[in-house]
Amino acid sequence: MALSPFFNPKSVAVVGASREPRKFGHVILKNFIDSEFTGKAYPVNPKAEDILGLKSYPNLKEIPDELDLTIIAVPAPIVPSIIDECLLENVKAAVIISGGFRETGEKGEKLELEIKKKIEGSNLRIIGPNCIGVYDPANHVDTLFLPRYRLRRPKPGPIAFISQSGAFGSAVLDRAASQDIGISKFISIGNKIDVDEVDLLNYLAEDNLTKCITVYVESIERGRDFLKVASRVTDNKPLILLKGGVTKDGARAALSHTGSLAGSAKIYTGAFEQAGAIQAQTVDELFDYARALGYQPTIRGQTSVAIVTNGGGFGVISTDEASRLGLKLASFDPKTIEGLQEKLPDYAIVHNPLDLVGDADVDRYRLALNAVSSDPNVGVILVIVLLQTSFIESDVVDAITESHVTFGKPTVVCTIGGEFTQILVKMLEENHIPSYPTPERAINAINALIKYGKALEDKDKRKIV
Amino acid sequence: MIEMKECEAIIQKVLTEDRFTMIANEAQQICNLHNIPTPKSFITMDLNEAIFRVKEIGFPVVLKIISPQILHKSDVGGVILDIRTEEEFRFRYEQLIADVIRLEPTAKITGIQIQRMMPASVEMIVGAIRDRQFGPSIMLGIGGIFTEVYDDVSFRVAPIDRIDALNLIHGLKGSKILQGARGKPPADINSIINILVNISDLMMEHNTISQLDLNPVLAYPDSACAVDCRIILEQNEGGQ
Repeated sequence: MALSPFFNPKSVAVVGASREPRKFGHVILKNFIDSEFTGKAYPVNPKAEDILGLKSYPNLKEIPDELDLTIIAVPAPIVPSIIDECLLENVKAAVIISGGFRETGEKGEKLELEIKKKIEGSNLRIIGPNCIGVYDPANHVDTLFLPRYRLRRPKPGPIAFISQSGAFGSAVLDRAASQDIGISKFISIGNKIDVDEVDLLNYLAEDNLTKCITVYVESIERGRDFLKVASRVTDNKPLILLKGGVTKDGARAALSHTGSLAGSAKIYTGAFEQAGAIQAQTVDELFDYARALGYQPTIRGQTSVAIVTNGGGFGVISTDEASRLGLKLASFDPKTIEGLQEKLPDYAIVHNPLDLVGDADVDRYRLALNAVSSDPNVGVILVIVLLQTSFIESDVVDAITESHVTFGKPTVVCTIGGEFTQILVKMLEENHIPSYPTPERAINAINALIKYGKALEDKDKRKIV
Repeated sequence: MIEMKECEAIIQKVLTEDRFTMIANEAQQICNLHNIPTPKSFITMDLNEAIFRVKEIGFPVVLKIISPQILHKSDVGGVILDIRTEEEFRFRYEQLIADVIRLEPTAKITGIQIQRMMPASVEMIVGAIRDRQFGPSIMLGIGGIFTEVYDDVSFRVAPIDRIDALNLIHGLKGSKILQGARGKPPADINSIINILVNISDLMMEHNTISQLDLNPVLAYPDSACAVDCRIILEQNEGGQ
């Protein structure tokens, strides 16, 4: 595919590579060295002999190799001439890191148009400008100009992340790394002079490493193309979008009620729903939903929620939030209740939410989880486990994982606490059981699973028609 | 396809008159040609004809001013509701014209629309616009004149199918009201779906239509009816 040179290049040139450690070109070149990139990396800088131990070239022409990818980190006015070089050397893909384009005013916009014209009809594809480019941990591609000691890189994983904003993208990546969330590909698209979210969704739809796609956008120019490709993506992969910039499109407002009620944000919301995508309203929600949808099976048909807890209050708050969102709480099968009454102490509360009480140990959890998981009235399970009690050991992670694997029911966890809890949260994450620090966030993640299941059911209905 | 030609003829006539807002009966005709139900109505400038024909429609009726210059009829006294007798009708007819002339002296009155007054029911708004990014898009809202206050509206990008239309309805916070609140029978969801899908087809077929309002659409247990239609045409045909 036309975009693969961005993610799997055999040779990369860094134009604007520098010996000065704080310069973008230096950091980017260093990334390729530090990440054990298996292809060849070539610094380009007419003023240097060698950079970071690599021979430096004065221009692209002198590089004795075909170039898949060129990363451009030089001042904006010079960029068009580098693009000329790329075209002459048949470079397949370029990431323009440099800012100083449309975002700064008319002069910058002219530069963008100039570049756009140059690549018209050519095979060269461009990401950016005004972006931080691409991070692909599986292929050791890393064009982020933020030093690794400042921005930790997430490990490889199932979630792809497209961000229109570089700063937002890098902050979220840093946090994902600290939470042990794995990323398949990260792409910062900046001013979208050529490659945009539509192109990338098309590409990621076919990417085997990507199981779930998250997107932060402020504007989608090709709305109808987006709707088409997004609908195709969601046939196989969940798609979660956070839309920034909720301003009204005032121009058409006055003439009709519909015009004044529209505001582009509502049309985006409608289009997302229509495509079977899930809209996140907050930064937290973007990855909350991605972890649920990326790790867990979808909820089809039976959507009733079972709550298993060792703390009454968290059970109550979860129930409130579920009812606020219109989710159904499961009423357990009489057989389930019978079985639980037999085996649980008589002070446990054997209906939904199933309260195992403060002295619950891992065996009690195992018993309860196996019972509700095999109950046909249950579609999805929220396990609330407060780890502050001395009865619970870390093998509660195994109990949760085992019942999930054995019965295949979507499972999310809610737990909150300090260092001990965080260790278990990471173990759960490792097992692809998403965990959330509040009942509200856990229930909202379940709601996202249910919404996606409903979208898939709508798709099935359309196939029959 | 005959419907399409007829609609285009109406649109062209409006454009050749250098207008971009359709007057009520033109918009209503376009809706009817796309199988969107509207109340029985006729237009006249002649009180005697009006009195003769009002019997065909049957009381109660509504009077509406028709003027290309008046977009918001109620603001200038251009709508009178719930007229129940012939005597009242005569009086209100004269009053309507007098009020409009007083409040909007420059407006050219091209007719009076006499429309069957529909019984009160759940009020919806169905609309369409041509969005810069997403193209023709369909809106559904709840709340009649309070739609703006509740801001309970949702959108889909045209063309939509019946599943999209149903999701539009369920996407409204107030959709419960259609299931029949306070002992009222539930509204006929299928009739609302029909209107939504037909409006979507209409927007896909006529790219000269820029905005459209059906407001209110009354939802009944066995039908739905677009009481007022407004259609606005693209002004920048050929670019400015």
